[in-house]
Amino acid sequence: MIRLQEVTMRYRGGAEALSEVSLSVEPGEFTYLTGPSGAGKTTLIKLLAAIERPTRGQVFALGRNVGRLKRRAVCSHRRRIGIVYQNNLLLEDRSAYDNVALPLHISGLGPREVRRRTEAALDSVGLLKSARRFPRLLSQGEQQRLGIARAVVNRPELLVADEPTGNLDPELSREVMKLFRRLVGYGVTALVATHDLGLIESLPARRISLLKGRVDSDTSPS
Amino acid sequence: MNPLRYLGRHLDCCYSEAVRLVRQPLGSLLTVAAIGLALALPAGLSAVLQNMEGLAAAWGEARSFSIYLKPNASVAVAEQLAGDLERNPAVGEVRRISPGEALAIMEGRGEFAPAIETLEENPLPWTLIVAPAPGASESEFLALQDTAATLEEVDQVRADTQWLQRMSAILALAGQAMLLILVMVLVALVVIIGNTVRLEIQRQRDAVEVMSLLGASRGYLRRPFLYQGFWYGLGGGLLAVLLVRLGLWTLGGPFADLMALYESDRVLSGASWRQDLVILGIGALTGWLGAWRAVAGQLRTIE
Ligand SMILES: Nc1ncnc2c1ncn2[C@@H]1O[C@H](COP(=O)(O)OP(=O)(O)O)[C@@H](O)[C@H]1O
Ligand SMILES: [Mg+2]
Repeated sequence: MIRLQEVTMRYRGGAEALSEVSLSVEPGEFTYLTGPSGAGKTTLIKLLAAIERPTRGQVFALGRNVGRLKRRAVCSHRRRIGIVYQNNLLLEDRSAYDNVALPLHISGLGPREVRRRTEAALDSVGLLKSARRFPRLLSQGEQQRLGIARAVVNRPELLVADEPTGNLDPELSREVMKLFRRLVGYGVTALVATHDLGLIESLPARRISLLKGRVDSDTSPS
Repeated sequence: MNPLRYLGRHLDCCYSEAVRLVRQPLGSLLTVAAIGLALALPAGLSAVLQNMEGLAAAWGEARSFSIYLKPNASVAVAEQLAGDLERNPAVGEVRRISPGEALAIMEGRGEFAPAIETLEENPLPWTLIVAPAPGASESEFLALQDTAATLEEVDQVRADTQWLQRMSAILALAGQAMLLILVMVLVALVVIIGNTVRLEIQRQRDAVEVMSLLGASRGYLRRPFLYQGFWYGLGGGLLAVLLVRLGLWTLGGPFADLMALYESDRVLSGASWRQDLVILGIGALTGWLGAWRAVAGQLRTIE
């Protein structure tokens, strides 16, 4: 599902954010991506979403060589991955409902299907009652859940989350993680970047640690 | 995606952009006003020109030509030709002027009198002044004029068309000028609308970026801005139509007075719905083009 082969990523005018990283995640796996700030977690996620291209090496996701995708293919690729962005990237001038419906709208689904799936996604993060509210009227935690609802609404095969629980209290963090794992139960592959070690301990799973742009450790719970 | 749904999405987008523009009425109105005024200029000019052309045609109908027979042509020859002409359906009336009458007319004008007194014999020929029949077509009458010139007994045929030719030349020039103005206005509109849409894209830059991250195609990102340009253009076109109609309505009275002086009951031809449609179409199209230009440049910088 995800395979990186000796991937090096150097930002223009910056140091290497990733250095010869090789790893793979099998379909239906739930994996944590950990590491201190600046380790390269976000960079890795950007490579998976074809937001950045690797300087060297190959990135495969959903059976495609992501670094080589043409512009059109990048669009359809992004529609097939659900991404929870670190800062949520919600549209301030649209209601919670419209934010969540956006990926479906982009995919060209019919109005009835859009409605059904959007309501289901909002419900799964406990925000159905806030559907008409605008992001700035939601708490940090609610905004984060909205970002998660938007990531899962299109039923992605691959779900990638960049510190999705950064603004949530431990209780909600666990809820969100459980939601992810429930999706994995339906066959979704999930890669969740986090540095919340307590969370990882309470919901153990495979854990890939990055340190200074390199894979430091890759452990699965026995 | 099936075609019906594709169309549905376009209509949806078209509608929601209209709603958005209506919700921010001041900014939209200013843009629409600028477009409307700019479009009204060539549209109004075109309406005026059309009326002038109609006017020229009306005056053309009333024009007649003169046939000067050879100096030695007899009364019988003149009568024969006049009779032939009168039987032609394109001819309304033939006025016969004998050499004697012609001389009397000249003497009556005074200025020629000293010259005429020195003449031993009357040098003037028979003259026939031919006026067209009320329903005669322009080309038929002109053809008749040409045929008359080839007749053996005819010395020369003269139509007083100089003023008409001048008028046509002026109208042609005005027509060219109007085209030029139209082109300049259209270019200006593409720039104005392009600029408005560019600002809007910059305002929405974050949203566009997010949609791009969610996998929106270029077509999807472009669409709302294209419809925005479309609505601006259409709104401007509508304003231009109203302005032109208002202008023609205001000019209607003075025009009728003018025509009365020429004993014509011709009235100012108002803007036709066909012309309205053309103005609206041009407005919408330039709006779309302007938006396209802005979007193409802006999206590249965002991606
Ligand atoms: N747009 C960028 N331009 C230059 N350097 C960057 C950019 N984004 C991240 N970096 C650098 O790359 C390294 C990895 O960053 P990042 O992937 O965001 O780490 P993490 O998400 O694990 O905190 C850091 O040293 C950071 O400074
Ligand atoms: Mg990060």
